[in-house]
Amino acid sequence: MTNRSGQLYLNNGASSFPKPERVLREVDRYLRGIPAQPGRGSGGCPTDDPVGECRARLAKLFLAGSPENIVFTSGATESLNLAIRGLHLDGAHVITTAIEHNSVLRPLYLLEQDSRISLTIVGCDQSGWVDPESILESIQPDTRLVAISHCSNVTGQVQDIEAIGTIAREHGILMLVDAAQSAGAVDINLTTLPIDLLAFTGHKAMWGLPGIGGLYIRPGLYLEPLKTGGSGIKSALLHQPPERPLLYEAGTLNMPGIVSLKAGLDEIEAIGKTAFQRRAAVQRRRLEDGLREIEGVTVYGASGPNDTQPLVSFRQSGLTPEETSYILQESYGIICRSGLHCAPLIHEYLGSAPDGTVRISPSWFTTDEELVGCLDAIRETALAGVAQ
Amino acid sequence: MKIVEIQRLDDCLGRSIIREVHFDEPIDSAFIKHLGHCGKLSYFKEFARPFFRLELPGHCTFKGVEGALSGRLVLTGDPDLAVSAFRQVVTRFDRSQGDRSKVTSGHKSHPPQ
Ligand SMILES: Cc1ncc(COP(=O)(O)O)c(C=O)c1O
Repeated sequence: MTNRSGQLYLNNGASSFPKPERVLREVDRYLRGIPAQPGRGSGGCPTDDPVGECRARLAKLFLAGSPENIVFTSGATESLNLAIRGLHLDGAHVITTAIEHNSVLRPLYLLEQDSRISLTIVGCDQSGWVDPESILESIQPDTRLVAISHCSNVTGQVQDIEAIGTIAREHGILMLVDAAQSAGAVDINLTTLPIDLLAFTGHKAMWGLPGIGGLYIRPGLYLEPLKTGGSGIKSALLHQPPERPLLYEAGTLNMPGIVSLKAGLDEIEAIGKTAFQRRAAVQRRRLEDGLREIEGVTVYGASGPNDTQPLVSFRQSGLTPEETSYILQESYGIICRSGLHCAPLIHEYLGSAPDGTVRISPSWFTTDEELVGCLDAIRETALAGVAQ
Repeated sequence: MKIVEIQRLDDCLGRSIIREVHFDEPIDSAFIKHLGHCGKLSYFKEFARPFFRLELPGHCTFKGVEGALSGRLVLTGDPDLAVSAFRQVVTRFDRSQGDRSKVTSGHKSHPPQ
């Protein structure tokens, strides 16, 4: 959607914009009322329980069973840190993949650097697809965790987490999924999927504010909390209350974030998940097909049946990704993203190292005309590449 | 035309060293044409906002759009030397000299030998 200053925002893979009116309205309403008090509803409306409602909504979205299996965090990064550090992986072998975001890689590399874990990075193909067989081949007797992104934030490739999770479970290995890009956009059924931990963020496909996210923790699985402190209730206890979610939610929760996330999920439900996903798939197809028709453009990411995420990476011959995105932004007012996208390893496999790619990620609000306009601008931008 | 500030840009843009150069007045066609005398210039007047790119081989690439108050400097050589080479390019711009360049749309201009 083009904003008031005529800019077209196509960087929803980083953070969604615009947010639906419902989100803006609900956050505004929340901020104007007396702040909610944990366990007591908000002052503005005694029946409101934004925290409980949002938690229940998320549990319903992911078919996660009891809402207490979901804990709130500041985003996928904190969730992944809570999962990776909280598991006490000392002495274990961990498998992760080349498609990962730094929010998975860095916590794992830190543990490896401190000689607390050994790490295997499984590669991917040129579209960012991780073959479940390669996970199987990497398993060692001491493997305790497989950590993988559900959807690559570089190519939009959606992984077969069911197959990978099944392999992990058959070998008694825990499975951690980074659903930062997929949560809200791709169906995730935690009742049937063999997933022990699912990290998500609220400010991308779920239309919440930045700074809100969560972690699904399978019932019975214990994680050491990252932090301890006030829980609003049970204040006489000198230790963190042991029950979920209080065990993991020390400190004042990000209430505007939680309110925004709940409103975002309400909006997705009002639109209808099928309509939402169908539109995303159409947008991806249009973008990919349109880009492939432009001379000198290399598109990263194949289109299998799972490739429904409206997020496409490409490069133009004669131009660095930084240059393409600069021209798009400065000459055409199109905001996209270039570089490594905080996923430094995947580019060796895609053939886009060392500068990375240009990533275009529209949203529900992006019109067909805007996508056509973007493709036209990229076609013109190619001239600058030819002149190099 | 004066440089007001050279700002460091630091994000996931890959491995290049990038600076945003802010000027006291908008970049206009006279300045862009002046750039053509200082290095290898490409100028794309047909873009929605005319885009240019100047290469100072061994030092840096400077790019931007006409009408903007800033442009982007990508440092390819030693950062200090590259920035000072670019500063000299700006200092040498004399508006009263007018348009002496023969740069045309989408074509390159090379500095006089
Ligand atoms: C795949 C992936 N994982 C994790 C994250 C981190 O999310 P957050 O910044 O919300 O913590 C992102 C965000 O860009 C992402 O794309």
